[in-house]
Amino acid sequence: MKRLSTQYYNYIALKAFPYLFCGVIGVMMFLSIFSLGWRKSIGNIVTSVALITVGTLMWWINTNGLADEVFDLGDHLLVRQNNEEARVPLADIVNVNFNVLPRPGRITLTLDKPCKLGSEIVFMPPPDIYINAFPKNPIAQDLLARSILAREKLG
Amino acid sequence: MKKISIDTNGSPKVLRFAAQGALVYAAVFTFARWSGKGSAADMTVLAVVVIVMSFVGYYYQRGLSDRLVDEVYDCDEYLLVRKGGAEQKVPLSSVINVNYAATRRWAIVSLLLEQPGPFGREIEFVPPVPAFTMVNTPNATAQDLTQRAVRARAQRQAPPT
Repeated sequence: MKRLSTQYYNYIALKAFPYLFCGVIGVMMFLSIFSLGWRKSIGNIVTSVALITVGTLMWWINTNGLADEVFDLGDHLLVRQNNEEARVPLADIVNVNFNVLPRPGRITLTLDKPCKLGSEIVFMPPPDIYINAFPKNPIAQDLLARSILAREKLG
Repeated sequence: MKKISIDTNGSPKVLRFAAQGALVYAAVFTFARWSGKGSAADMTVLAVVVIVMSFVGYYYQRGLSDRLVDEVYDCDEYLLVRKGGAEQKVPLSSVINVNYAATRRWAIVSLLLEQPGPFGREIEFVPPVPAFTMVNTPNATAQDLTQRAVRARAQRQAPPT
């Protein structure tokens, strides 16, 4: 059972980031209030609230629908998202998309038949160093080649 | 017949020249300001940086624009692809994968073909992208091509009734 999705980036992006981001800004806001008082730190409070709102919205847009974990089990994938689990046969994957942004990249698998998690599985592969602006990802290439083979086998 | 690519004949070249022009302008401006003030070693470092950056920028832009085809037209059951003087008809059923990748400046659709044609096994073009689009927003052209390619492949594989 090989893990295809990144472990640490997933944890940081999905779990830790909102707490870290809001926490740091919140601490700065309270420090400002305690040191300057309410009246003088109105500008800081407004900026902090705006930053938290925009940051949380951007985080939600960037991570919404991301799978928590994807494992390769040979002829199918095991996908976990929000305490739900789905098995996706490779022959059901009809398209594999890789985009390097947002870092460390996104692999989107389009399925022929929707599974429990929908008709698209999106996950973050482990980070890599890319020189090209539009690079190929080895995991995406491998999944594409194997899904084509699996479809051909089924006829 | 609907054009689904953005004309890349001119824009990468314009961008390339604009980038080179900006670099030369920056170099000349810095040389002019430093003349008489900077040492010979400073000038040499600056000249080396400018030359290296010019080469890197030129080959980066050329590498990007050379892999793109000039025009792609959607003719329902097939795509008409043109590059230079050559053209190729690509049936949608022979497209085995559609990849859409976007950076902050560029977006590219890559079509992977079952069999290589005159332009190779992969055809890449710049699709129309609405202004103020986020990098992970799905592209309408790529989504449409993906769905139609999947349908065309399924129809081809389905046994005749």
